[in-house]
Amino acid sequence: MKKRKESEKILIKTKAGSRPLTDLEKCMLLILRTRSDIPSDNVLKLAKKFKICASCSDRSEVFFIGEKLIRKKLVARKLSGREYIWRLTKKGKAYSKLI
Amino acid sequence: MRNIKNEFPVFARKISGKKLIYFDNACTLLKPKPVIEAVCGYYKNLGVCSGDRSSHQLSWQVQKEIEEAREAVKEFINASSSKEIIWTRNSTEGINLVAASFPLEKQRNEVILTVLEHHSNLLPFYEQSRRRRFKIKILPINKDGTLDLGLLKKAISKKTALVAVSHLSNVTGLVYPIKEIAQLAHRQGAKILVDDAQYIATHREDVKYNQVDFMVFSGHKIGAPTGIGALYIKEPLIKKMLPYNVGGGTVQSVEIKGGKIRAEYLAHPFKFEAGIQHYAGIIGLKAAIDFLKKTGYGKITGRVEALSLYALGRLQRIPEVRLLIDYEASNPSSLICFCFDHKKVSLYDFNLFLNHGLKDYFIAVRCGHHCAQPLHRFLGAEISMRLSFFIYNTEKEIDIFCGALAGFLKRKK
Repeated sequence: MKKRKESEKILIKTKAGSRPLTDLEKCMLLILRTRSDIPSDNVLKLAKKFKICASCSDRSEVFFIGEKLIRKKLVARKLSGREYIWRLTKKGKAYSKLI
Repeated sequence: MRNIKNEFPVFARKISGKKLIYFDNACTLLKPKPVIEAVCGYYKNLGVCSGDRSSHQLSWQVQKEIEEAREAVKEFINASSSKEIIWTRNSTEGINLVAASFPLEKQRNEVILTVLEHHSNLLPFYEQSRRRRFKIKILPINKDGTLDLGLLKKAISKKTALVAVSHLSNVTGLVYPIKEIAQLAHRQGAKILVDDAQYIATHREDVKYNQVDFMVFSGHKIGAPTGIGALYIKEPLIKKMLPYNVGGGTVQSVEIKGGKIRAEYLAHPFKFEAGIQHYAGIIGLKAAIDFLKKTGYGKITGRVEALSLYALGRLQRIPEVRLLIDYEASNPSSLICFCFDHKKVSLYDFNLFLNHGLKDYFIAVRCGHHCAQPLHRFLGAEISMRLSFFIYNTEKEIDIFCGALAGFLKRKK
């Protein structure tokens, strides 16, 4: 498998400088890359399929990470009826170079 | 009680421009001003090691405050001596210490737990049972959340070394009859460990009255800083406990002779308190105890029980809500857990709604398994939402929560 260059990876800007994504951030993005525009329960169902998501001790943490990614403008959430629908803000190549 | 919120500075701030309603008290209590001042006071005016490590006036003052705090904990739980109080990081660490160190005999090598327990009162015994080769018996509970004392009586035998049980479950919200359980255990020569993490913030523990042998609690659940807790071990049982966390501050002398280490440990409680202690946390813990005392336990218990009952009545009127237990046998004493009957409505989404969907309020609750997965499975739920109360909560806040819940459930796609 072709190894990606560091410069191609998505970095999170923080006050202390830029950092690579954590496993849980990658987890959330991977879920939504697999299927975007899905309700919270489906996010959790898909989380079970990724090894990278296993560091989450309580599943609320998935949504805490989601909130973090919303602030970073990588993910969006919308209330539709009694469900929150989650999606990626960008499509295509922007997320293929993540991991 | 009217101005009690003024004692908690966090209520002065807005969360995303909204007013805070805090129903996550079972996870951690908000911090009152005297605790914050006590912790800041340590860092501002002292900030040094205790006198058992250093040898100057400032360190002696820290030592004095630490020992006064130990005395305050002793009085708080009605222990016989402050030597029975060991500083820990939290309840979990206290239980780990007991699981690793309580005396076992060949003929007495069973520990009894219940399905009620927090992971912190299950996993330390699970891990130590593999290392120390003792057996674990796990008792079910009744469907109404209560313990079957008849079943417990049958389960305790001459082989039982320890019965470890929660005083107040962080899921059912029920108080369990510790004194009766202790008497059943003692009749067979077994000891009892009480997980008081949830109970002690809202109810008065009396280890003498309840005949408790081991008891743990976490400071953060009574308004003290995070990272400080206490373990009570009754004398003379404490003398039989094996050393657990050892190192600096736990020994009288250490020698290396012929390539072998020989250590002479200090007397309890110091032999269990290795390394530098969380001085600011201990001083904050004393301030939290003083705050609870000043507020009055009677008032706190009465108020929190009344709020729980009020919330129960309101939630029972919402058809989509399924309470984890029916509360027919006894009332919730400080918290209530529920889930939705309708599988298509997600608790996680409602939790997000409480965070983002309300115009004027931000409501903090706990949504998940609350570190009690076996109990959730036993009660037929994977997760639940928990409302837990303290004296700063009001009936009006419960009405706002129930209004938000009704509004959420009425929303159409």
